[in-house]
Amino acid sequence: MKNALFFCVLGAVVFLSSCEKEDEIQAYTVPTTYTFDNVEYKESAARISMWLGYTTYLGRSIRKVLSQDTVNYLWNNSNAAYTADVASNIPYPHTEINKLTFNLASKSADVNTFKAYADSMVAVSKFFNRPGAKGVAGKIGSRLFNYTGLEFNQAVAKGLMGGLSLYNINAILDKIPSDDNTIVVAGQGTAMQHNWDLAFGYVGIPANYDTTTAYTSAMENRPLALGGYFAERGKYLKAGGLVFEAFRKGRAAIVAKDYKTRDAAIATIKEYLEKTVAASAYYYVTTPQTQVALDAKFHSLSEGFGFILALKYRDVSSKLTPANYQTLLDIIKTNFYTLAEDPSNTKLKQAQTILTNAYGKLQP
Amino acid sequence: MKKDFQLKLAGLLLMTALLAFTCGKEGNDDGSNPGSTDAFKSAMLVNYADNLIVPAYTDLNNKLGALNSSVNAFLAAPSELTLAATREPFKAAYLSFQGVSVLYFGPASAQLLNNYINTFPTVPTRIEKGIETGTYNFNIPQNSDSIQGFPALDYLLYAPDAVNKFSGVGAAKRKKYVQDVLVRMKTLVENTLSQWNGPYHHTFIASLKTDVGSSIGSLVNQFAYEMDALKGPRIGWPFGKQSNGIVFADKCEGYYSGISAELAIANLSSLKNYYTGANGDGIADYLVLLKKQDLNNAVLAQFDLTLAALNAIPKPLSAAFVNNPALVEDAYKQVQKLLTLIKTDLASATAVQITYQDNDGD
Repeated sequence: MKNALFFCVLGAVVFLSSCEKEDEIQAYTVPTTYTFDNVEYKESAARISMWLGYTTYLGRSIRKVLSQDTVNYLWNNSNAAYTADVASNIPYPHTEINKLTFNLASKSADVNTFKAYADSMVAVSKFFNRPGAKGVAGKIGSRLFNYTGLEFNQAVAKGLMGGLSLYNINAILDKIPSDDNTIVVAGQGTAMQHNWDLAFGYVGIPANYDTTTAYTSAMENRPLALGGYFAERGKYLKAGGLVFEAFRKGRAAIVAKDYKTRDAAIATIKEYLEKTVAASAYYYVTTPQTQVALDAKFHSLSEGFGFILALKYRDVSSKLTPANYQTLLDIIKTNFYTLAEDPSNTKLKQAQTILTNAYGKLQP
Repeated sequence: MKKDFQLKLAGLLLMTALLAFTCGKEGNDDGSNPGSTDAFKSAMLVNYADNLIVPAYTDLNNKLGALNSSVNAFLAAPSELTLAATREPFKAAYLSFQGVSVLYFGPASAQLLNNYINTFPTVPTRIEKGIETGTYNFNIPQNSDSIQGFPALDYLLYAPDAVNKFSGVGAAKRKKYVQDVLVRMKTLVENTLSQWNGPYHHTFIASLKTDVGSSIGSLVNQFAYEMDALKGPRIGWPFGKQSNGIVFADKCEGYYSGISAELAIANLSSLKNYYTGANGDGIADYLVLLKKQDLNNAVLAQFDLTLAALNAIPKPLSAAFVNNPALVEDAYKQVQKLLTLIKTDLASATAVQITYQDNDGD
């Protein structure tokens, strides 16, 4: 073992010094869209489409009792569960998804937690026809809440932006430097290139992403999941443009074996994806402080709940400490009716402070 | 009312919020204004709390006490005379509520005060069913159909044959319902008042920024919200603005008592009072401090034009919808202008983000 390690280290040193001797990297250009030779990321991009179908189905709880079987099948992508109703007009519509052999269950972090939230939405959906109140699950306005005011579908949808997207992207990017970048597989490029592409697919933005486009749900190739929140809550940070540029730069750098640029891109991607989640969490602990209608307020808090769950999958180098993260979790796991009954919003203001101290200014 | 109202306006509101966003940037990025204005803001907020807000809730609390006494006297001995004796106290209390309507943040928001005591229109069938079965839950937030608060009393006390309905066998359930409505109104207002007299007072006056959740932010948001309510549920909707001109007079605030116009005028007069800060410093003076004198003049002038237009409508408002549509239309237009001034110009001048709407698409 020791010897093997020694040779690895030696190999790396030789490689590095030989690079330095060559001293130059061939000039390369960074394309304006995510267009390269041998790009392939169907697996991750299709999971984002599954995310949409899965969470859309959970959202149907406002008007019907959900089927536990359907939720199971969607999660495991079995029994041709995706239908036109929940998975249309997206990069991988239901007809495509149903043919795929992979699913959400196998690649999401904390699968049991997220599945439990989804199952809870199934349980609460039984009450879609009765009014909700403190201690009583049911509808307020057009939204369906559990007895504490939580929309479980939001916990799943926003939580998975961390548990599916952030988690996998960070894991892939951590591994990238040790990936092979010499053996080209036709259609997929090298392992490093392919993994980079897979990470890109988990972001949920189209290859021709454009921050100036006003995307609508009528567009098939629109930003989805975490990618959709660049415009929704990450605008102040300009996160969408920065992340997209870093993915293109990094991919071009990998082709040119410019690892310094690649590593800078990795840092940018990690920083701004995490900040997008943090900015969203910040927004949803801030806005409810002035929302008086309980449905609007609890909806915001439910989104905040999901985004704070998502922050769990932040990078190890995150400036948000485990202790402060735990405080955030404790705050957002407070009964929403209790939060609403505090006229001074003390806990929500504390959450704002924690997020600002960790990440700096997140919203205008 | 609130939910429908929000949904239908969501698009416009979102645009406004974005506008306020953009404009806010030229001011202070972090929502805090230079230290030099802090002393002013602090004094202004103390003025709001001590000279406007606490007195307004105290007044409502007292008026509800008087209403409660007169209604109980009526319930104890129903007659045209005792019923007539509830008229003035009812009107006084409802008008007094208009003086706190704009304060729907902090304690009122925590109690869902406005939601419970003034969501209109009321739904007579649901009230009658509640009386009949004796089963009703006042702890469920209202969205559009109310069974409690002023709108319920308006329906119950102003029924054409109220004395009969409250007399004889079978009236006990109806009496209990009315008493339950009143007890709940009193409790909610008392709780709100006591929170204002408690720790929230400090929270309010110590909040010197203009960001989301700040005192100034809340005030400006609620100014805009009340204007939206005036434009929508108070005048526009019953007037048919969302129904191709088909009038829904019975959707008015205070339809049964016929005091809709008085309520709307009281609401707007109170709003102007909060805008100016009455005898002390208010948002109006804050605008002057920010060198936005022109905007302040425009807002004040528009308040007066709008109040004049509302006053010009013959009462009751519910009849004027049909008989004097041109006058209602004019008032509606003035309301719209004032709404725009407050929701876009005032919000941006004070760097306040309008956040009360549910602007989420998912």
